Amino acid sequence: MEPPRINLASLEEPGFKLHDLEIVECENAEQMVLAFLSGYAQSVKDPGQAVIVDSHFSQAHYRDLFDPARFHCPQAESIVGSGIYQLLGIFQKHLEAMRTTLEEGFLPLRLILDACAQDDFLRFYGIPASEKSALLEELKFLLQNDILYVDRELQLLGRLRRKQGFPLLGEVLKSHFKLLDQLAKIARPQDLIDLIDTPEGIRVRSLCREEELLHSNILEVFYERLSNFASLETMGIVEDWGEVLDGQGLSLSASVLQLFLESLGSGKYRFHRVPEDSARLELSNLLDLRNLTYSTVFFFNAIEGEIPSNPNPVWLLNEAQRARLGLKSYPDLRERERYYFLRTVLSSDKCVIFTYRNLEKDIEPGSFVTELKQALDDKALEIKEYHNIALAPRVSTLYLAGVEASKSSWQPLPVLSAAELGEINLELDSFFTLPCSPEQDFGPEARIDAGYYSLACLKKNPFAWYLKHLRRLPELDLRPRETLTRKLFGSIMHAFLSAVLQPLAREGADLPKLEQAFTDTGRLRNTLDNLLNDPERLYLYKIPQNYNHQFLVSIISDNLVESVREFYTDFLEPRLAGVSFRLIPEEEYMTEQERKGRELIRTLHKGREYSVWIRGKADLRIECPQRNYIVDFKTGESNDEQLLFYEWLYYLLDEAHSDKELNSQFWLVFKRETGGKQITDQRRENWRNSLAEVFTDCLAQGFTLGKKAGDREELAEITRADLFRADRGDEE
Amino acid sequence: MNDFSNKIITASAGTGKTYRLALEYIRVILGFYGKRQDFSLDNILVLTFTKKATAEIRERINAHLVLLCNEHPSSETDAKDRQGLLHSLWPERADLGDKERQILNRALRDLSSDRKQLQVMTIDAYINGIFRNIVCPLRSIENFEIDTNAVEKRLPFLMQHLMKPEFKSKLDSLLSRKISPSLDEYNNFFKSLIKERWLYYQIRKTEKSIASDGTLQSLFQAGDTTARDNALASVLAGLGALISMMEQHGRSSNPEDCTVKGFKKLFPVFPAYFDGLRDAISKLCSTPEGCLRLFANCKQGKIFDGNKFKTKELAETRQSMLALEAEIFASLANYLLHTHFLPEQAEIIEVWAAILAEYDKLLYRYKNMTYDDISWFTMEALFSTDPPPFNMHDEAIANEFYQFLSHRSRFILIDEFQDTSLLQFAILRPIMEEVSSGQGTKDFGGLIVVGDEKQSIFGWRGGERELLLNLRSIFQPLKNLMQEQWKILAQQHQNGQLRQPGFRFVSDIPEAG
Repeated sequence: MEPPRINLASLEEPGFKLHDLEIVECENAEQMVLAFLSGYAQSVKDPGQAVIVDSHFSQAHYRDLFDPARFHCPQAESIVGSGIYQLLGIFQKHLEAMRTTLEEGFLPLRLILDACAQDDFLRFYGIPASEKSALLEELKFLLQNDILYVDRELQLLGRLRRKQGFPLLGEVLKSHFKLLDQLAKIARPQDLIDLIDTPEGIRVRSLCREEELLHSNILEVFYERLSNFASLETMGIVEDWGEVLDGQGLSLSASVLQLFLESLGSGKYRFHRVPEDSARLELSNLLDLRNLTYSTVFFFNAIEGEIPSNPNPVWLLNEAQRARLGLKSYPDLRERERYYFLRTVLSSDKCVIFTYRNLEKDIEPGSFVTELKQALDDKALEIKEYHNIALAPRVSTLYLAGVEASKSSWQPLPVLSAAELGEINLELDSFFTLPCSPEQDFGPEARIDAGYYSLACLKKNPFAWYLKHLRRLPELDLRPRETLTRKLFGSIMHAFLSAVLQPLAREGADLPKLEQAFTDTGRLRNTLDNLLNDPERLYLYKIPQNYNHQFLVSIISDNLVESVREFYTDFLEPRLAGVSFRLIPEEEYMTEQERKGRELIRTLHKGREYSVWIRGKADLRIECPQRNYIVDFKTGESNDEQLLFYEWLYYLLDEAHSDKELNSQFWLVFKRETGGKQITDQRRENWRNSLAEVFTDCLAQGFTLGKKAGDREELAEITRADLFRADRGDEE
Repeated sequence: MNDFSNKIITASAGTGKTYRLALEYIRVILGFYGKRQDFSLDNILVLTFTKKATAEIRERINAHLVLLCNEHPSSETDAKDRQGLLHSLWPERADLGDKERQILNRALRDLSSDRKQLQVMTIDAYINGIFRNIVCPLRSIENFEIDTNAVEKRLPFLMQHLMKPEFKSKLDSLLSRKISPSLDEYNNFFKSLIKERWLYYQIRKTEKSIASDGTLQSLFQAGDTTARDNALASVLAGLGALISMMEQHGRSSNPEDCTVKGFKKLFPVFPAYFDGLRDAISKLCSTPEGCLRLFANCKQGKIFDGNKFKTKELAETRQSMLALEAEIFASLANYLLHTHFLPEQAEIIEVWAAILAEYDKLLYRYKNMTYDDISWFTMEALFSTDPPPFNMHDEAIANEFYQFLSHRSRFILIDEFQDTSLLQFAILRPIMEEVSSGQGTKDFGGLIVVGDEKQSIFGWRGGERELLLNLRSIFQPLKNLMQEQWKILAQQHQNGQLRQPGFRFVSDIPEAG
């Protein structure tokens, strides 16, 4: 039946009794909820006679702010958020991920980290909340060692040298892989059903959260869905599940589990925490308000697109065709919504409409609201309008209010007003300067020991250097991507070059021997392959086992070998032909001299001397009678300052160096050419002086932020200094 | 009968384009609302490029209407603004007539109570509408989501596919040209292949259309060994001659003294004699990679140091050497075209085809699309000839198309037209032609295009300022297209004589054609 058209010109119709209308225009949905909870919610005298109209409340991000003891949302919860679904989802994802790994025997660390971040997962494997941080420490150790995968047999944990071992992680993963082994046997729905509630399979009650078991009908819903799923088998529709789901082994197991999750996902379950007789403020939607009247009505999200709603996407017939065929089209639905809206507003005593406006997102108050405003403008009824309501939650007390609220003594949400917000001042000048306490920071020896990367960081951004290098607070990526990073590739490349060069250095090679070693590409390739497969080097757990692995072994490895060959023909041969030389390649461990380091800078501060010591190891040095060469191999960007660093470390601090020419260059592995500009004595001195200046500044002024915007991106995730944009702090 | 003038309006940033567009909107209302029975407010469509611009224009139209309908403004500022608006609409009149007042009041009321009547949307949203209403049923796409990260999410699957043995050799050769340690570092390259898929379509279409044209075909045909070898021979001969001239006329027996820095850097140890240089050059040019290094190292095609051949008596020699250098590098470019450019093109096109085929499979499986995907499928569904998904001349489909597009939208106002991509323009073009011609499903309609050819903020997503510059020549059928430029009366504005920008037509450019 068509709804009657409400004529706003004549509001005296029987049943229309509205005498108090407020329109509150906020900045966004969050402000809307804050405005409601901090004031309006407590003004409701008779909650049983009040209603909040919000069609999307059950999916809204702010729903957790509404205490179920005071607000009644009759809409059921989606099972997707439950412990059962979340855990089964984790198992499915893990099976799916293992499918593409070597012999299906590895699980990505990223997924383990994700799983361990979920309380459901830890509860399922019996890890108490108190041990969560210890478990995280064990996981952090893997991250710091650039591990990407853990193997099914947990050999990795044995190969990694950690003093305390991996007691918690080992325990969780042992049980987890045992369960995954059981799940991996699933080849059809019946296999999954057979695993449910068996000792070696999945106990459904252990998947559920305590409150779900005590206060909801989740088990009922789950078993009902499971029996529906079982009917797929009993009806005998599918004979070969491998063919239907296009897979076998882990792929098939993951697909069957996914199929079950899809059938489970549409399920809804209900909590029955609060006695049904307590008077609560109802949450409803326009459609459910048909024929009902409330004395107080709150409309949430009265914006265009919600009230009235946007047209739904068409399927099969478009709007024009639907209209021609006499089917319901958008104008009919809109007219219906208009009727429900106006009837509800006009039949209430008091109505508060929350709306908001956002120019960036093209959000504006809905048409019905403006129509209502226009119509009431000429009437005696005064509309109270509030614009740009801006409130901020006082976070510390928000929590306490929540605790209080849960004890059924309602407290309004505490908020800061716009005026109070304006009083908060940050000291921008000193916020990103860490004070320097030389004695404490540089120890009893009053010195710092730094490698090249540490010094480069100190020069660019002392603030980040203090955190990262002095206090060793690394920035951890808790979601490591399965990609071959430049850092890992650099380590593979160095290990490879070292494996090629070291035997030659030991033998005291001459040019023909170099030629033989560098141009036999078959042998070079073998050396590389052996290196990648050496279990002690852990590359097995560090190299992504996806397309990147294939790319590395089939494309990149050949290029690396070819580059090494060209390094001989383009670099070594022209320089070393007819000259006696000594090769000094990078050793796996530092030599005594390299470990001890050299003093580069000494400076006086408040009557005490402080110094900077440098230490490190160059990829390759070649010493000839007239000239010394330093070579650094690069796969990415290079900075000449690294060559300067090695020159100071190995030669420039020696008195005897001056009678020999120094020649330092990069070998750009992928470009297969040399790199680096000519280094003059002036550049050498300038580099040391600029470092001394930075060091002196740190002693005097503390550790300040990098001056260029790009430099401030160091440790951005920890410091968020990349957002710092004070005029004086930004030179770019 | 159509009594509306189509317009292309170009103006710089800050001259009040939004103000002007809203003014044009009101002109259409005044011209047609209530006068033509088959005209409704949602016959006017305003297209923008951002949601923010959409909201701004909507607010501005509303503000103009409120101001015009308010005969007794409460503040002096409002009164001035109203006067400015009235002057822009009717320079010769003091206020609205009764009829105009009625029309605008009614329009304001109708637009306030039904925002859907005010058709202002982004061009992405508009094309999305065409896609949902016409392309989805045609392609049997029941439901899909717009996901701006859809390409990113599909890349791992695509990479996995590309590493299959059948593609490996193609990729190997292509990616070896610029090696990175991880396949993920080529993400931007793969993404660009997907984003620019209409280019792939154009290339394939062009390949077919030039099949009978010998010149282009031979230029783009890889593997022409004769042309390649001739080019190399010419390079070597030229280099030989140039070295001899340097040897003969230079003042030093050391070639290092008369060559440029980039050329010297080609050799780890630079030869000390001209014969040594001849050997080194012939070794360098024995591989295409060596030739490429020669080309890349010698900036602006310079090999010899001109300063060393500056004397009067060497003037003629120097000219000959310069000419020889130019010849060498022209031949070198031709050689590299055959050894590097054409094979690379062919490899890219092959990989492109494989990527797009797999991408479409993934797209149908996961049903999430970017706006670029939507634009492409819309364009393909409506206009592709390879093969045509349907015949546009088929009456049923044509009706469907017009029902959705031109029956409803009769006046199209496009903001920031310089940001329209070629793909978007290709989709919009028929409807623009239809409404601007004053013919078709209804006998009234019009087109107003506003843009600034000096700035295109959407260059990164394919915005084409050339489109704006050449619009009149593109639209040959349009005879009454009027082009205007305006500039703000800055002085008046500054002095507060005009709070809203006023306009002065700098020039009325004669009609095209």
